[in-house]
Amino acid sequence: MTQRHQAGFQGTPILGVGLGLRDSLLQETLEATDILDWVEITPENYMGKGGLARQRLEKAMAVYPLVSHGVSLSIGSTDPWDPLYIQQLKELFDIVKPAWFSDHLTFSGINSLYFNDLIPMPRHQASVNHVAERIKYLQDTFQIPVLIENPSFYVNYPDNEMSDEVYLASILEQADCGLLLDVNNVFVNATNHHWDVKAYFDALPLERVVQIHMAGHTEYPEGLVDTHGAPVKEAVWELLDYVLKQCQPSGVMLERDLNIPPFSELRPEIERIKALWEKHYGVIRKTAPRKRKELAG
Amino acid sequence: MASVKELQQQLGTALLTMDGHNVLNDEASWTAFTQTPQGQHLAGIPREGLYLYEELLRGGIFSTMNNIFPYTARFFSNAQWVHLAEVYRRIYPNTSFQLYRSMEAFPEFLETMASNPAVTCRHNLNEVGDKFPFLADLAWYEGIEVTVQNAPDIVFPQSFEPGVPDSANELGQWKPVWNSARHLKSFIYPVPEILRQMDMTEDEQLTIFSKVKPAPSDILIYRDPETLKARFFRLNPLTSAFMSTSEKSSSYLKTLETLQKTMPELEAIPKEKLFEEGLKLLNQCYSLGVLSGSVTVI
Repeated sequence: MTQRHQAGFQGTPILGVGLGLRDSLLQETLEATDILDWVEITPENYMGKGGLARQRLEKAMAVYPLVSHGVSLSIGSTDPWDPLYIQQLKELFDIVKPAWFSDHLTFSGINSLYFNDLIPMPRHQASVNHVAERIKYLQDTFQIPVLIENPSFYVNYPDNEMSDEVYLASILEQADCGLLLDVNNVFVNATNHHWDVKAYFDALPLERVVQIHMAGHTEYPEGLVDTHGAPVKEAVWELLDYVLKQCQPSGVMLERDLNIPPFSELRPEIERIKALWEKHYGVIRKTAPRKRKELAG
Repeated sequence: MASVKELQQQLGTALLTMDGHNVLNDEASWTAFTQTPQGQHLAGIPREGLYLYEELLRGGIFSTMNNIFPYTARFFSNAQWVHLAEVYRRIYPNTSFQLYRSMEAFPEFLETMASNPAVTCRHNLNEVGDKFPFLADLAWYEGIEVTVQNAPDIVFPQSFEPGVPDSANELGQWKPVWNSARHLKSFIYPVPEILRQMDMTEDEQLTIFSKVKPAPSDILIYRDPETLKARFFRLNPLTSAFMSTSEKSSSYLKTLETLQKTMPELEAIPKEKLFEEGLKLLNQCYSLGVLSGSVTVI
């Protein structure tokens, strides 16, 4: 068994097994403290909002440590930062005090317009420099660990000069930030773009992995699409085991965004993550909610 | 090699604007686009890959339209709704990082779609608009519900009291704090009645709504402070006038006095009766949660 660390990359607290917080599963998620140690929020669902959104957030905070995983920060964009986004994210973090926050290695807006989706970056040195500078700005502004997530992508640009793993590793090193490793995204990309999936993992600085996403994808005639709308595939479970042998993340979680089933159908997947976590790192010691909040802060 | 900015800007044109509309539909259109100054940095990018992104963007808007406008959607076929999603997202690309806010211009889009050939060129959309002229009103009604439910909570001022005056003597000492999660909208068509009827009508019978006649009304949509869900409240002209006048008045008393001077139907009412009716109205608004409470007059 791998020796369990006291803290993860850049001092992030070891949280254990988590789940992406979804409105339709809120109550069951709050009651599942036997298998869940933390939850991940999508900040855009709460930023600048009151009412039920704020109420759900407060309920989750009372039970679990929270981490934040954004979809529209647009880290790779050449637009200036959206001042409203930065302001509202700060206001949210003042309330939530996440242990870390993450977004994708993509851009999601340009010319002050939003795709509200994740568009891949070109892979060359100028792009590395641009993204690394943007991540440093976030680290300076928020003063909590910043992670970037490896995205799935469905198009390659003719000007790409680096492989995806070299591009990702270069940014991680140059920005000195953590990695949110989405194992399913690696599998989807490896299948669609004909990579050697284990060679991809071996080329990454896995000591920088703070968080791991597990999710399902959907098969189409044209290839795999990272829909988060199906159970995790067996091949992706095998890859999680492979990755956990080589690093100590602070948290591993299940993501489900489409075709969300009853919690009872997600539970076996969470239990499987828990079993793999305990196989590699041992049992997570539970802490009281107040203590958890301090830990997360 | 294109700079990161040049590549991103041209991807934005291809995927988000009307200039990129239809350019991903076939190889010939795509090749032609990449030979223009607007698309030159995209040359060599496989069309199929970008087309998948276009489908993902359209799918995101399509499902958001379904979630926010389920009643409005029933008047359109699936093909019409998909077409609307595509042209809407390109005519009104989202300027917010929050996807649900991309829908804020959708009622306006429906209002003006008849004059835009890019919208009405397919699927007989002109006919739908002509047959059901209340669709923009219906979409406003559905859209405001989301806006109100998501409105930020406000911090009450220090002198805030969660109550309303008990007697006429107190009317001059307090002024109202209205529920901030509210929206007042004038509708041309009787949307609440349309919705009630729609609940009892199968999709195949929706043509009966082509007979709906205009019936203007002011409707207050606000977030119930108990359930945190949106409530719809048809306002009579007096309540509507009371709310708008109170925003500019220094106290409940001044509001009532102003109304008596400006509304002919109140001119002849004795002061005691006016105050009595005013207190009743305040209590009604307070019990509904439209009025959050009061602050002292400085």
